[in-house]
Amino acid sequence: MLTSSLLGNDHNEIDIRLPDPEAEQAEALRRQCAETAALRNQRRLAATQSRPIKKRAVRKALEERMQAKEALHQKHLPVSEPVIAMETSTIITAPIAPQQDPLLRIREAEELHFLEKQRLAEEQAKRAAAEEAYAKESQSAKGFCRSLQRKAVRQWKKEAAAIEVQKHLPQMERRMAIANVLLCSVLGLGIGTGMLILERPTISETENRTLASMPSFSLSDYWNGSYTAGVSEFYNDTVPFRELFKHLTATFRNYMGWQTGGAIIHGGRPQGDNTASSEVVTTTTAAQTTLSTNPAISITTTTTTTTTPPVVTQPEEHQGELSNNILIHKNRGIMLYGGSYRVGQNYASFLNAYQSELGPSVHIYSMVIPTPCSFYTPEEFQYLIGSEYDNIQNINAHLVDVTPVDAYGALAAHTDEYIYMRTDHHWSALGAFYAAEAFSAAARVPFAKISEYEKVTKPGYVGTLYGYSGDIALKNNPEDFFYYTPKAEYTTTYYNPSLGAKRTAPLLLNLDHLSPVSWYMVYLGGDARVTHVQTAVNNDRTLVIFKDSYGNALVPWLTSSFENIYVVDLRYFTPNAITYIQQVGATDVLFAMNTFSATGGNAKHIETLRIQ
Amino acid sequence: MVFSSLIFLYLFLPVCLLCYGLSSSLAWKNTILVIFSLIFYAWGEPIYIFLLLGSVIINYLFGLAMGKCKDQKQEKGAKAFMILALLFNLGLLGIFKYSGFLVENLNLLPFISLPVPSLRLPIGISFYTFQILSYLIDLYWDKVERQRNLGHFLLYISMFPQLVAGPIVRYSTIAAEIGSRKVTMTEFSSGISRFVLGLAKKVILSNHLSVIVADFFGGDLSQLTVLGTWYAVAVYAMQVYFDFSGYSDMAIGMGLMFGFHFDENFRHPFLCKDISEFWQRWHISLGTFFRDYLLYMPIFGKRRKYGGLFLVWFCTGLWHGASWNFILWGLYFGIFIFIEQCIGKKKMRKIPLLFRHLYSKLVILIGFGIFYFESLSKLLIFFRRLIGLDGAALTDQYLLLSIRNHIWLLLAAVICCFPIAEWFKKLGNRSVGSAYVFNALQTVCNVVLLAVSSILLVDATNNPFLYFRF
Repeated sequence: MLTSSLLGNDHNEIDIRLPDPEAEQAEALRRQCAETAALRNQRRLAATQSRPIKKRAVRKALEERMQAKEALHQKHLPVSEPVIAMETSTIITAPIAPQQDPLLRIREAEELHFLEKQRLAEEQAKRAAAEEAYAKESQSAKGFCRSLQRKAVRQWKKEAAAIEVQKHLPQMERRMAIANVLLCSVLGLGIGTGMLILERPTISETENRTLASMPSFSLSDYWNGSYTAGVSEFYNDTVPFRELFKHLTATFRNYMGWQTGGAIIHGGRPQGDNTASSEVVTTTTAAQTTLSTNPAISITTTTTTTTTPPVVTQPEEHQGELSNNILIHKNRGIMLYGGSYRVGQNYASFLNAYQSELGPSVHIYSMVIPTPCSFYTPEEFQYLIGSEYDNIQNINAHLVDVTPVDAYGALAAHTDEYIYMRTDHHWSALGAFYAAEAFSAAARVPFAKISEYEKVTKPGYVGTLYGYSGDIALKNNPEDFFYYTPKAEYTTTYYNPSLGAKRTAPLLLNLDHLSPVSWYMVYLGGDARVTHVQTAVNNDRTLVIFKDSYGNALVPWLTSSFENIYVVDLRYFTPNAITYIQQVGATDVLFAMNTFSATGGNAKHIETLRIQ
Repeated sequence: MVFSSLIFLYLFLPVCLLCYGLSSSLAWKNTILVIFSLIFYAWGEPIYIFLLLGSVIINYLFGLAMGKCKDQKQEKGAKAFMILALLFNLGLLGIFKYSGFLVENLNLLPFISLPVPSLRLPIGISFYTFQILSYLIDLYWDKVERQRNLGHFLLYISMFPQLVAGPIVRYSTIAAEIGSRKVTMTEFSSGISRFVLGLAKKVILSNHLSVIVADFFGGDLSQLTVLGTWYAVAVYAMQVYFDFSGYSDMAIGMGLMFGFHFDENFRHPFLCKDISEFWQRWHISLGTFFRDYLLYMPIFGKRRKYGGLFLVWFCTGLWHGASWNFILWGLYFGIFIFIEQCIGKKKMRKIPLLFRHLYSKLVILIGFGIFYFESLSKLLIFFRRLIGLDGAALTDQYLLLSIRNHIWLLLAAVICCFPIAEWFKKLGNRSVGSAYVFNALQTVCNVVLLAVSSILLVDATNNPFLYFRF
């Protein structure tokens, strides 16, 4: 509250303090105007200041308006300043005439009011103009400004987030690091302990081999490094749950590519040379193992009545003839054949040497057996393989007096039947039947119909090609293994490859104790032993078969054809072959092996047997 | 013992880390590390461990002597010791690595027929000899203090993460950390991640790529088609990259677990735009070694650009193996780097990016062909196949089948040539939430990769016998 009062006059104190409504009213109005104006200015100023993009025009307009306002104030409100000062302090700075005409005062106020209104209007107009200018200018710079603004905002947000992240990062990293370290070390230590305390396997069924064993320590072994290497191998080879992990690996590898409906090749392309003068021979991989620890074999021999322990030793150096190249097509594993005319010619000359040494009294037959690659390789991969047909023809062309047996034709006529196992590298009993039939025709011996045999089927067979290719398609699609038991009577005697350790045992093994991968061992219990089958036939015909593992399956089919059958594996036999043939009084000698053997590294064994 | 074997992963490393973590003082930690390193080396080299120990002791003495000469300002003495040390170390390397090669080539000259020595190459001799040299040369150049503690020096040389297959860790890089270091949880964790990444590169990618390479290059080269040759050499380039960088990753990761910070050895070399850049990204520790210790030798002076450059590349090639193809390989890169230097950096930059990439990839791929074929006659067949001489077919079913059979592996390999881990980290660090997600993802990745790699390693001993006889 303020009055235009007079101080200093003691006697007129009351008078001075008399309220003057009109003056008060005018004063209030003026004050109000001034206050609103100041407020507005403040706001305006604040607004313009806070705006990031200040335009010169805007600022200029503002300054102009401020100046105008000040001028107006100075002109029309000379008393307003002291009055305001009086409100805050009691010091009188501008004396006002004590006796002023109230009317004058009203007029003055009215005038003031009017002026104030005018000023306001003016100000408003100016502001509008300024705003218009501002809008106009900003309109032109709008796009640019907006993009700048957006960019700035984005940058700012990013920075803010980065600062935020930076603030939390060490903590976060520590937390996540603890989690990471914990999880990984639990996994690592868990597996580590598991590997130490869990039982380690000793044999591998799918690989059909004994796993590495812990080496015994000796200083010399240590110095040449074989001890530590042996420990590493033992540790890495005999992992608990090995088969499971191998299965997982095969599954994982299956997903490395795209195999649906297509074919897959493991181990690269085959190599062969089917020209007469080549030096190249089919790939030979020498695997080393002993089967002597395979429990399956010892189980089957417990029923025998021999005095000598069963002899299942295998030669240290095994010369398996295998090519590393397996094509998987429609769940069938096909080993890709390379072939070699040169080795085939050697094979033929070896047989010719037998014939010339044994003379015409002994008939020699050559049965070179084709493998699935002749019949089941898809058209687009034919170019990868050597022709088994051509290789067999090449051999036959070089035979002198030796009778070729056309196993190729016999099998080719029945390719829609189950003549080969899908998951194994061997043929099936049925394939062997057709080949044996062809042989019996060539040898002019009786041959029993298939109905004379009893078929035995065992489901769940996954043969060697899974272990070798690691292709999960084979593992996931097992087949039925089958063989035929002759109804005819016969006795079987086994010898070891040096003709010792004679014992009697069934021709066909009981498969119940064998792991599926080894079921082809049903015939003769494997390759190595020399087998003598004495049949009920009475025709004075004695057959000696020199064979590889394909030949094993032929034997049951010939039990109605020859009086005596001697089966010799050409890789393991140690006595001289000619002497042996003459000893047993053979009338017929059959060389029965597949194309990989006849045109590969096994062929040389034929010559070795003759001269050893 | 190799890193990518179960006995290392699940017996040696955990036991070593446990002992290391449980030991209280740094002196104990260093002792543990030395003991385990010696076991690690002796596991593979029961005899040559003595060569390593002897070399360490003698070079330690060289260092001491040289330091003493330096202290007494006897520059001549220091120089004499330096030359002696160089002769000793390079002599050892020469005897064990190159004597057979040298004699074989000398025997090609008329009237010379020397018996070819058949020394087995001690594992890691190329790496640790260079580490020793880095210490001695730096000491000679007053860049580092001499190491008075034999144990510390032995630790530097024999530390098993980098002992057998690099990277070549300079003494100056870890000199301080031998005497004082600290392992934080975060670094230990990133060490694990790095190690697992390296393991996966080696076991999942490299090992499987090598099967493809063996399919094409392992057998009869006359069956190769043009595209098949290019395909196989590209796969081989990736195989070597993942193999070698995987090993470096494992070394760097284990270094972190023990508190050491090794320098990077590979920085996505296939992203390079020219050959000079390739060598700044490929086997960095070797490249910088030759650059710092050979190229800048004062003897070259102004001839550095020509003589020095080719000497460096000759040595780089020779370092990789005692065979002509490696020398050829080194000089091959030397020629391209020389050409690039002649053109100049500014002019190189003006060439369109696409052409630079094409050019560099072409040179690198052919380079890997030279790297693969140690027999020069086979190398010649490779070149002829590459450009379609001798009536090579353009492509065949076998190539298509190989690609189809390995398509996901190949895709994964190509993707992993890019710095995806860095991209993910950048993406993850945008906000706190995503950083958590990506870190969790990394942990999950680690566990999965470790498990998958371990399972694959079980199959590494797959040596099927399989009754595979006919």
